[in-house]
Amino acid sequence: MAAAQEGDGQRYEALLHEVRPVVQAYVRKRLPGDAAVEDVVQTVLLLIHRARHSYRAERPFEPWLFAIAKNALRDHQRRGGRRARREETLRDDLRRHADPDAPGDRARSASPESGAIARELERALAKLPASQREAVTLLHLEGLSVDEARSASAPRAAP
Amino acid sequence: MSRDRTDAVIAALGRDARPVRRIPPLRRQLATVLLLAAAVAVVVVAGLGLRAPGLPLLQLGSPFLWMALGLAAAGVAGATSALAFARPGREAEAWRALALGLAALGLAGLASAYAVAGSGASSEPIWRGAPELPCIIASLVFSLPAALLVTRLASRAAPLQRGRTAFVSAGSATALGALAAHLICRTPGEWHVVVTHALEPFVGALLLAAPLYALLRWWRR
Repeated sequence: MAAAQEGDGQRYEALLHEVRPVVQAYVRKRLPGDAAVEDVVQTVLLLIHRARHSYRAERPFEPWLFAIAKNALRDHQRRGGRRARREETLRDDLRRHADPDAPGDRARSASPESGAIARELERALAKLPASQREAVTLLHLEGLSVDEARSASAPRAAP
Repeated sequence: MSRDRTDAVIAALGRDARPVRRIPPLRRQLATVLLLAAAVAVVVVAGLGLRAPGLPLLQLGSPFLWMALGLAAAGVAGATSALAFARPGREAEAWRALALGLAALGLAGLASAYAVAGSGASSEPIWRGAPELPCIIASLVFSLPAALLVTRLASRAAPLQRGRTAFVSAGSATALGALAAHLICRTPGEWHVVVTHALEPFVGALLLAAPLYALLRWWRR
C-alpha cells in the first residue's frame, strides 16, 4: 500500500488483485447474489482508491481494509432496504393482465374479472408521476425493451 | 456488474495511481486542535477576564475545578474520537475515546454536584431559564474555531461515517469552547456551573452536527 501511495501503479494493481478475493469472501458471507457481491466488491475497490491516503504504514492493513468493506456493505444494504420500501411488487393477477399472451390467460383477458383488474391497474398507474407512468406503460404494458422505451420517450422529452 | 468489469476497475485504478500525501499521525492533528482551543481560551480570558474574582478557582474539590477538568477531558477525548472516526480501521479507538470523554464529563458533573450540595448552595435553583442562555451561546461561539479545524482535518482523512464524525466533532469542539466559557462565566449560581456547563457539549453536538456534516460533505467533494 505504501508503494501505491507513492504512485506505483503496477504494485497497486497487484495489491488490488490480492485484496479482491479477500473482500469477495467477506462480502459473500454477508450478502446473497453474485451480482450484488461483485457490485459491493467494486465499490470497496473504489473506496480503497479514494481513501488510500488515509492508510498509515505503521498500522496493520486488515482493519483498514475491513472497515472500508464493512462500510460499503452497510451502505449497500441500507440502499437496498430503502429501495425495497419504495417499490411495490406488482400483484400476480395484475402482472398476468399486463401480459395477456401468457399461457392460459387469453380467455381470462376478456372476462369481467379482467375489466376490474384493468380499472385497478389504471388507478394504480394514475397515482404515479408522469415519467414513471410512461416508463411502466412502455416497459411492462407495451412490452418494449429498455432501448426501445428510451427511443419512444425521447422525442416527447426533448424541449 | 461482472467480474470482467471488476478487472477493468482494478486496471483503471492502477492507471490512476498518482502519488498521494499520507495523512499526518492522529496525535499531531490532535495537538493542532488542542493548541487552537488553548489559544482561543487564552484570548477569551485575556479579553474578558477570569470568572468573578474571589471564587476558589483552583481549590481542590471545588465545582469549578471539577467541571474545568471534565470539560477539558471531554474535549480532548472527543476530538481524538472524531479524528479516529475519520480514519478507517480506528473505530474501536474512537469509541473508546468517546466513552472515556463521556465518563470524564459525567464524573466531573457528579463530583461538582456533590461539592455544590455540600457547600450549602443546594437550595439555589438548578436551572434559571433565560439567564443560562448567554453562557450556552458563548460556548458555541468559542467552539467554532476548533469545530471547523476538527471537521477540516476529518475531511482530509477518510470519514466513512460522516454523520457520526460530524456529531462527535461538534460535541468535542463545544466541550473545548465550553471550557473557555467556563473560565470567564459570570452567570450567578453554583448549579449553573454543574448543570449548564456539563450540558453544553451535548447542546453543541445537537446544534452544530448538521452544519459540520454539510461542511464535511462539501470539503470531501
